[in-house]
Amino acid sequence: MKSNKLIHIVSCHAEGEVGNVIVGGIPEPKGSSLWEKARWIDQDQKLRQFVLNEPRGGVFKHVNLLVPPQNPKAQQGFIVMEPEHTPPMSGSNSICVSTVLLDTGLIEMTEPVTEFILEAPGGLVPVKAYCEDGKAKSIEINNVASFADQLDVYIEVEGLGSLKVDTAYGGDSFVIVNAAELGFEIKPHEAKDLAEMGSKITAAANLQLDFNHPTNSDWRHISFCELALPLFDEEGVKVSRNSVVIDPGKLDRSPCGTGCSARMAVLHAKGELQKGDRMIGRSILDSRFDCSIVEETKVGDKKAIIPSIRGRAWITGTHQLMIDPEDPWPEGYRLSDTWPIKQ
Amino acid sequence: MRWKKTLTMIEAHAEGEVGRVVTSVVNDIPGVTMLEKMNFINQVDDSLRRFLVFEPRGYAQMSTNLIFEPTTKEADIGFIILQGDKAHAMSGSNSICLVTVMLETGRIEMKEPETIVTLDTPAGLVRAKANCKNGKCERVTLDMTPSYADQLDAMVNVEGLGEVFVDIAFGGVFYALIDPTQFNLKILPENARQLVDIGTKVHRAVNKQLNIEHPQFKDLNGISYTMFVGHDSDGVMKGATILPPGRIDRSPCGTGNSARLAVMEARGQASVGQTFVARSIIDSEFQVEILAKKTIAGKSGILPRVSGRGWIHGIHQIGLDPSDPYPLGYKVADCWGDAFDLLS
Repeated sequence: MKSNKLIHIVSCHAEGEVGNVIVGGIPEPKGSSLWEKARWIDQDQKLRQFVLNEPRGGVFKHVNLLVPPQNPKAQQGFIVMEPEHTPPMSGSNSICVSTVLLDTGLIEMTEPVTEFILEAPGGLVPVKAYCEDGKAKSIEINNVASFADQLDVYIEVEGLGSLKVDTAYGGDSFVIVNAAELGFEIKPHEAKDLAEMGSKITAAANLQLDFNHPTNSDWRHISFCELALPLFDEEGVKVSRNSVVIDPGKLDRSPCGTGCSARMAVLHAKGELQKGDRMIGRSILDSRFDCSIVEETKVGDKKAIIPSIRGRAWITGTHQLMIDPEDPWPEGYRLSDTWPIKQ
Repeated sequence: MRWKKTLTMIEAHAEGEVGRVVTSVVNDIPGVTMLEKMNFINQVDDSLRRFLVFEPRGYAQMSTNLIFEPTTKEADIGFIILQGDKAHAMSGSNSICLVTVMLETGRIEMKEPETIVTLDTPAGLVRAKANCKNGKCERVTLDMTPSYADQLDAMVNVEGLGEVFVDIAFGGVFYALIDPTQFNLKILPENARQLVDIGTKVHRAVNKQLNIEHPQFKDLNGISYTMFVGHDSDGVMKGATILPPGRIDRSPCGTGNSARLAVMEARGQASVGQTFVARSIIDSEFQVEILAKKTIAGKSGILPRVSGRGWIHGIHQIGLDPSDPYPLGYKVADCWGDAFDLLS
């Protein structure tokens, strides 16, 4: 067995969505802020391709890199690597990172609650971890400030005609559509159709609508399509059953923390949710996030909210990734059967 | 961190196709032979397969191999291949991964320049020859199952595609071999999704419209896979095997090329002793060869030989938290494909 690289990973999933965590073996990326470091990872592509591409990865998998925090308030920094993007923030990934930090002792666990602050490229993320018998049982994060951008605007989508959408930011940028109007119930048998439809809508939205983050001029595109059913009640709490199509055409298996945040920002802007209100996020696997609006705030001159997201994660393994010096695919490969071509 | 179950795997790929090898002892699969053990997994308890293969611990484009003490004295190691549909008896790329892992981790002693490893599989004994140098298993050569051409230029009517011509051949399992020029398509990574869609439609039509039965093994009937068979511009053989519910073999495919060689021999395009390069959709290569002619229950066939390279790319301790709600995993059609009806 020969290898000239050794990367240590703890693998994890949050409510069904895989978010593995690199805990060692990678030099610190270049840049003086976490955002710059994330841009460096994105431009360099070498680490992304090594861990995300086949044979070591696949389109279903996210990988997080732990980095020293740049903000003195934070205990730990992390950079999320998704199949296409290196985003400002991700809910399921921050829940995986928090669980791995606590369950492996990288941050000392205090029962029944451990509080600490993570630093994502998109900002600080306060974490409240509910711990029992040495396990982080659920993680509540306060997400970065989230806002509605364009409400009830129309885009033309090939084969669908005119479609009413909202755009919003919840740590990443979304185009949100009514899944019921498109004939979906958000059930597993619809997965392939949902992925294809969502990719088409994201592509159309990026051509026809502008997206600008008021204080982050680097984020000028719409990353994901969120297909969401109209809200319904479960035990007196509003439920958002949704499927988020992650570029380049793969469904979030979790209810999607940034997607739930974006939707709550839209519902807040439309007067349907107020500060203090709760919302349950439900995924295509029926897994659940418990969300709420914690605060009202502003991003630039835009009205915004601070959402909280609570969900569970479980460690599924530990890996040492290696590369045989004679392996002909040091950066891996992708094939369009399981890794769709970006539209 | 709490785990109530943990297994160690060495992760490897053979010419791009991932075959992970569980090196922990799995001793709760009953059966006197490897076939009985495989049948136990497929017919009695497949919880271990689901735990290993499905998300979040596994994914669509890979296999996971279980190893066992051999059940006969002639063999060095027994193994069973776990995939998204069921446990399988034999695979060329997985055999290459297994031999590479056994030799490069010292489980079987490596002898340079050549180590012979006899594999105990549910399909019988398979002889593997490994070329070894400086502690590295450089190439594994496999003597494959006797293969034969069953039907040449068979025509099927395919929904949305019209008349499609295929060759039916046996290479360990039955294949429908499809010339992609019928659809004006090349075997290229960017066409992978389209090839899967067409192959899936042809697969359904073949099993409905053609009568396919192995002369010796009556329970082997119908095709398991379709395979696109083309050539690169330099004349080298190129192939893409479509694996239900919807992906392409990243390696050139050992059993598929065995079937292809049988068809080439039947057509007079290849003869005993000839060696060819067989390329995959990602341009990885097997060397394939017709070792001898062989009659299979009255049918004229061949003994194929296939060789390729494997590389270890990781070590993985897989675990199950007792509170994890997905001990048997899940599969979602966006990444796994949606031809679940074709899983045998």
